[in-house]
Amino acid sequence: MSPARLALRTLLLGSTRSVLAIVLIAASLCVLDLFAGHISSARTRMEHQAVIGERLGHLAIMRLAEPGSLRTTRMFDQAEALRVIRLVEASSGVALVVPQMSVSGIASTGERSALFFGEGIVSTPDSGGPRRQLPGKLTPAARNGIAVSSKQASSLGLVHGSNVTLTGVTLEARSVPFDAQIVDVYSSVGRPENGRNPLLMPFAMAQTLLDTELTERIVVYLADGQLPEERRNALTAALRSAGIPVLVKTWQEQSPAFANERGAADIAFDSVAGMVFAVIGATIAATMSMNALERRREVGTLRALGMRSSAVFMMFVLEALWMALTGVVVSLIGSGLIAWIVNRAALSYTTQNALNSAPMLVELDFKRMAMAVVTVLAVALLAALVPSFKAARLAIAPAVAA
Amino acid sequence: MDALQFSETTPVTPATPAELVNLSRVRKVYGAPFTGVHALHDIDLQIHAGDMVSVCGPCGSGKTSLLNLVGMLDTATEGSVVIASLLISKLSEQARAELRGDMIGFVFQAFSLIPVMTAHENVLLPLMLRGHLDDAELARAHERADALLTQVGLRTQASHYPSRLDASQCQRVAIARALITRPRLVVADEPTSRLDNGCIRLVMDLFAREQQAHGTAFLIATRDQRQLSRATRTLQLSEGRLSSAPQSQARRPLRVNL
Repeated sequence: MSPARLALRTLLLGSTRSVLAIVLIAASLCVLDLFAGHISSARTRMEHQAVIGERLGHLAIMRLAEPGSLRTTRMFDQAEALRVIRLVEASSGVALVVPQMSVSGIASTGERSALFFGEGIVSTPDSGGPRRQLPGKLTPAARNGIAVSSKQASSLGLVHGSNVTLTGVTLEARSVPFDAQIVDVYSSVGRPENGRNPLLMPFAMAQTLLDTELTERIVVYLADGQLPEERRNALTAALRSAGIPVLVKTWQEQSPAFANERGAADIAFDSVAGMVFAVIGATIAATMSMNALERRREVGTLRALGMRSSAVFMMFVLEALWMALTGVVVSLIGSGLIAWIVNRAALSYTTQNALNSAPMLVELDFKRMAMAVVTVLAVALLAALVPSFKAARLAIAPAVAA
Repeated sequence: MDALQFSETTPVTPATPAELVNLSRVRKVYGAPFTGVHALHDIDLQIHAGDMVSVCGPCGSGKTSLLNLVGMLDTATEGSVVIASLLISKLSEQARAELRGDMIGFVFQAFSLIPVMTAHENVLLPLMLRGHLDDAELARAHERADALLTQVGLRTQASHYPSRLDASQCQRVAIARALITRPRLVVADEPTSRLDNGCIRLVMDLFAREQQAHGTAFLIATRDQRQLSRATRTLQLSEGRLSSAPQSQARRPLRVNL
């Protein structure tokens, strides 16, 4: 009988201690998997919020200019913008390409005034994909129609059909007023407090407020949203080879909220992972030490019957690995089951200072789970080395008599 | 056994072909040489193929120490232990393990069955530890395990785990395990201590059959008079000393109840 089979048999038919160790390993890994899943879910929500909710798109193409140059030299002229849009639309995996223009100023109703941050957008037909999900609907026929978030509408006392005067500051620092009408109030419920809820206006209105015909940036929505870094590099290369100096940024690079969240979540995950692996290592080391101590007679017998000390060492190491592997399998089943239950239960949670609760969802992060499995097996191997070595070095005669 | 090649073999000269064990002026001290416990003093012992040697003596007289030395489970403090013409002190741990597995069968006082294996698997264990067996060898091994379990009266308990066997049954499984490899020497420490009269007769007959059919030698520590009466030689150990030279013991003919 090989050491591997004997180790597996010992684990399956062995002591309650081993079963408890497996349960502890599985529970610890479940905690880690679910935490990773929650982080993944939160990141997915943040991606949706940034890409769709804030209209950042998966990629944003800006004109490259020398540092310190005028703002106008960092914008596309009409011909350039058109070329870029056509070139990008011809690339595979692109769902939508639209120009955007940021503008800020003062919005006034006559009774109330407030600073506004606006985005000039191109109204696109609602034909599914990202178009359907983008917040704020403009009416192509209404050239002065704008959309505001419910939060802005509430602060300025605006409703559908209200009139508001927007005063923008041109690139030459002149103020330009524009009478606009509310054609849509989009919901800002559930969005993060630090997220952008821009006032949406027709692209031409933004150009008028800035008194320019240039285009600040071109936003790209990908069909699948996967591998934005690789797509960024490919687009940059393609546009530069076409003679257009561009800077392409991914949505992660444009979203400070995501960068902050990623840093905090990574630290939290690393801390939890460290504790989990320490617990698993200590559990396996303690269990295998006790097993080696209690099974002295068994080890002595096996040695007396001809088993080599190296095989005894392998048997104990493999038993620890089987233990870890069984814990891993149980944890995978457990994590999947718990994630399904949590997602079905539609739980929510409220963070500090948040006005609204956020849904508690778990999207299992298989990459992190795979890394956890490999790490647990490595930890099990290391934790089992000393007890296994001690078991292998047992003197036979006293062990048999134990 | 004959096919085994040991890289560290150190043949010792005057062993007769049938001589399996030769202990010469062996001493065993547990602990420090001067302050430790002296378990064996100047032991000289030869065991030949087909011998059935009984060792008797009171508790603490050194019986188990002697068996451990002959079984290569322990090493002598002084003197030479030669097994199958090989000086044991010169062998590596690996070579000793191979030699033990191929040549010696053990019956331990506490049975020492593996708790996660059935009786049948426990009996098979020494063969399985030898390494990979082809299908034919495996089939023969299973047959022999079944036959041995039948001979010790445990045919119906073959699939039982040790936790479901009583002491007598465990001891008989341990005896069957000791014989599965057809060892040249069986080292048995109180092998019948938990058996009733019928089982003792069964086991002693089994030993005698192995002795006659395969020339198996037995070194048995026992206080059982029925076993002593079956031995070809009986050694008396007292405070670690053999009270009479083994060569002077009269050899008795074997008696087998078939």
